[in-house]
Amino acid sequence: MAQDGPSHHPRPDPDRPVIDEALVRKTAHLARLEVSDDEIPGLVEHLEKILDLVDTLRSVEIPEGHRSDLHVSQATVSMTREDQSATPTDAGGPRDPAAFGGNAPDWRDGSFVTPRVVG
Amino acid sequence: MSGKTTSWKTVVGLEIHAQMSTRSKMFCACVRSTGTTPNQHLCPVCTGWPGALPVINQAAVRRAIRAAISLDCGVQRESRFDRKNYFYPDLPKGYQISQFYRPYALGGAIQFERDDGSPGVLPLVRIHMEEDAGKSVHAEDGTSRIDLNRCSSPLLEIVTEPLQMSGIEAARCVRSTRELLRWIGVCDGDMEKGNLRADVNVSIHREGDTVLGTRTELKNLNSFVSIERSVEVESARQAVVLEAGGMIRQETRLWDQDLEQTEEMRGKEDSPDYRYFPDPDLPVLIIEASDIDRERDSLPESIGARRTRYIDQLKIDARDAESILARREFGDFFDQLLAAGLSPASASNWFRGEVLKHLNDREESIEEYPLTAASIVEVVEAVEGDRISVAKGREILQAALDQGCSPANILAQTGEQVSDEAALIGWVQQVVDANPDAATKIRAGDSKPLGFLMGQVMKASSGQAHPRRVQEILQRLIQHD
Amino acid sequence: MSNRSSLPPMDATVGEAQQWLTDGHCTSRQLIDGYLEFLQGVGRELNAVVEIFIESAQQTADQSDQRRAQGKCFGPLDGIPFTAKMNITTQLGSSDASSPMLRGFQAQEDATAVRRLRAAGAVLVGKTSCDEFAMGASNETSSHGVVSNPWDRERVPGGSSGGSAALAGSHGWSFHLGSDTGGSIRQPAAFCNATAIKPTWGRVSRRGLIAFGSSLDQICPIARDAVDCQSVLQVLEGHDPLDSTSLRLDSSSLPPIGRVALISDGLGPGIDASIATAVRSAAQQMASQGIEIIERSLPHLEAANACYQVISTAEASSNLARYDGVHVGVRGQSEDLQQLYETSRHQGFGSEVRRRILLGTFVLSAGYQDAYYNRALAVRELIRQGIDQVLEECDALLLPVSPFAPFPIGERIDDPLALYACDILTVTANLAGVPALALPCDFDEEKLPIGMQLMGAHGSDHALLEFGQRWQRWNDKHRALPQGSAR
Repeated sequence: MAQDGPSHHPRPDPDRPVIDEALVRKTAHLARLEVSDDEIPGLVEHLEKILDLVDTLRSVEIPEGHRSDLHVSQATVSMTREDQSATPTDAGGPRDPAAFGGNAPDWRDGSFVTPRVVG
Repeated sequence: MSGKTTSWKTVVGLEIHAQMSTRSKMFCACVRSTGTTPNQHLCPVCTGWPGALPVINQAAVRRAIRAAISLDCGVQRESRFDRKNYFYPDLPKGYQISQFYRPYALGGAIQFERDDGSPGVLPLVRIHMEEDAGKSVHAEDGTSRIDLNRCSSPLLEIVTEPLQMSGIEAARCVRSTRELLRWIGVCDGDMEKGNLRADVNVSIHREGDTVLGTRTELKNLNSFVSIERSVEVESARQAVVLEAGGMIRQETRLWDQDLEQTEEMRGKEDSPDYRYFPDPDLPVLIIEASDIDRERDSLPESIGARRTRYIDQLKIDARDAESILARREFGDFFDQLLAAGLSPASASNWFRGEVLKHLNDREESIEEYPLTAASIVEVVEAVEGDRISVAKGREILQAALDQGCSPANILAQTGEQVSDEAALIGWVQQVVDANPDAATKIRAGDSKPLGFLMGQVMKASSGQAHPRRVQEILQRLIQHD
Repeated sequence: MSNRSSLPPMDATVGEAQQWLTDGHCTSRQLIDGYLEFLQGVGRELNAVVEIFIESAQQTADQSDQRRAQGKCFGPLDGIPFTAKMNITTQLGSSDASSPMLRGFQAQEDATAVRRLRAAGAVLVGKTSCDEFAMGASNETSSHGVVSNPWDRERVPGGSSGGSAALAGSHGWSFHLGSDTGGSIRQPAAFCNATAIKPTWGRVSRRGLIAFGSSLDQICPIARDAVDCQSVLQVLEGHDPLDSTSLRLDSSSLPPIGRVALISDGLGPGIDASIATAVRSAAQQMASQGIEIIERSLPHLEAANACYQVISTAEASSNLARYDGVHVGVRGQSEDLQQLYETSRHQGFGSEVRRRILLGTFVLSAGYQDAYYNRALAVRELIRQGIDQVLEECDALLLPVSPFAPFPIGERIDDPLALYACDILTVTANLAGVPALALPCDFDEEKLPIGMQLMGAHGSDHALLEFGQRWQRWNDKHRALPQGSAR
């Protein structure tokens, strides 16, 4: 889990990743968030602090064979729906394309419009 | 293009994406459609509107189970849906719902024919369910237009192990999978529409090496020829690179069918980080043993067994059998013709010659075909019992379709074929007397007017004269005159 | 038109207002007109309400009056005003989750919760402000501006359901739909002296709730007392075919709560002394009414906040990916698709939302998912088991809602960590998916409300609400209204 590279604040925990500008930029890009140069120091500091808080997770001992993939829902039956198509008047039914056009930032000739998609 | 290097072995892994032929989409009640008008089948769920939640389509799960049974997979009692996170304009939620960590089916195999004719087995890693993305189309004004009709259509992704094989064999694996999925009613297999497509992973290694080479991936191949050729071309490209001392990078490449070459993709991230995690909006999917049994019990006779029955037992010509087996519904209709009393040969002739022709002419599916097997058999029996001519039989079927009535009604109004010698001679004599020139020509050795005279006799008899007998009598009378 | 003397007292609950209508002291139209007047006056002053639906509310009230005249009243909510939080979709008005990203978004569809309430005759009168995408504990991140606490207008109402709580805390006759992901209904209820329940996860359909952390989110009622919360929950609950995680819960009544565990971790360091004292004395008051009180420690209380930070932001990072400048929401200017995403999301999201997306993306990303997200899932399961263990010895857990009193506007907004500390006592119920009821408990020396919460077993929502009703018969602090909220 350890990241290579120099650490500003050497930490006793070797597993703790070093939060730096590169990591913030990489993560921001994954999330398609624009970050200006001014914002970087604040975000690095924030992530450092929040990871201090989150580190309490490490102090919890996880028992052997512990299952953590359970769903919050305690429903025991699968909730599925019948293969039927709904009508626009049904709750949750299909909508007139205009409804989507009206809320889309750029909608022309019945389609969503974007800058050219590459690849 | 470089030729094949014999010392290299090509290994291929497949990911086959099949759109399941449900009425509605995977997670919402919108019509699953590939209609041409964009954005006609949308709701808040498949458009990723705030507040909308996915609900699993039962029919998609049932079809998925059928596919898993038919491919000998182990159906998992518990499976889950995960979110695959990435940004793309045809993906309105910013994630695709797919079974990543816990797919519903593990193992299994695709049966195919090796190049030397021996049976081949391509082992499967898994099959999982997922939703399809929409489509983006380049517009003339330099923008892209996004159509979400296809978005959230139910897909199966069949993931195979890597296996040493040729491009033709890889294409055959996809062909046999397509045939099977169509046969069991899971996917219509329409590759032109992209309802069945494959990603191909290709690597090469030297004969005798135990470690596989680095693979490249070719995405969205939607024809057998593109699968076959891309494997051949890409493995040859890799050989050239390796022989020149180069390295193969693990990457996704584009297949250009026109140029027959693979290209690097631009504008893609080096290694996408999809941040898969369980979708909290969907509970664990439970598939009980009884669900599996129900699907197994309702599966049709397998296409392999049916083929053996037609060719080996019923002695139907192999090529004819394939056209009957092109769709399970064809085979079922054919079986109904047999059950109603036709011999295999005559069922094959009438099915291929008439029924398939009608479907083609009328551009309708066999589900829409108005004639029943029993009603066709009635007509065929009249033909085979010499009561009407073959041409008359065909005419009756066509008339029944045109008039939208039962062939039996028309058959009842049709007079029986006349074979009575005296009556036939009467008609023939009448026609020969009225056309002395024709008779002269025939006697001089020109057989052309024979057809004309035949037609005149049939007309005189209102179509009821037995054609073969008329022909015999005609020739006899003319020669003796 | 409206004869003011015929309206119910301002602190009247929904149940009392319904009786008032039944007794013919006023019509629903008069009640609605009176409530609209409050919304346009005090509601606007507090900046709690964003949109008010005057015409539609009046028409709906008239229909309710016609039903009543024909003896066809739909039940306890017929003709009663209610509001929905801005992150709950409604056919009327806009549903922007108080974010610039969704400014003007017309959902054109009622959330299932809203649909069910309207079918029961309740009258939607407006939409309330909240923290942006429900991310906050002070209602200071709302694109509609800061909301005031009716008990001290210089202080925050709590969040994220700050608008709902400010209204519930300052006027009766009505109830409000908010939501709770880590305490978002309970903490503002405690700050504003209202009663609210965070139901068992899955009890109320989430269809139409603009998602933040899906495995934690629930739509919640907030009102004057536990009776009203129960009447509303009875309409909201039940399986919804449009939400496959909504439960078919057995609504048969559970055994009444007889034994309550006071959670000692919620009374120690880091908790205001006045709050700890108030909750302790509430426990004593319960004991004097025959409730058996035991004291227990709740395992992993500290790790719960860490766990919550990881899971809620991870889910949020994915839930908010749909706001990409292409399908819904605002769009920035760029000819390049990748830049378009980034600039649209920069313009559309506030800084707190962006911080959380960043953290959530990080904890899911390759190389870190195991250490953070997966570990948090494991701890979450331990937290659930920990609650079950304590519940083997009692029927409910008692602890404060907030570790501190309503704080002055602006005090914590620049220190995200100080705001996250608001959640430490509330996130456990969300992580475990169990119900938690927030009840007014007392007032501190500055006359600021103090709230307490009762957490119960999965599905025990109604047992909690019935206990809440008993409590409110022993202790009437919930009836108090702040000065200055009079019309």
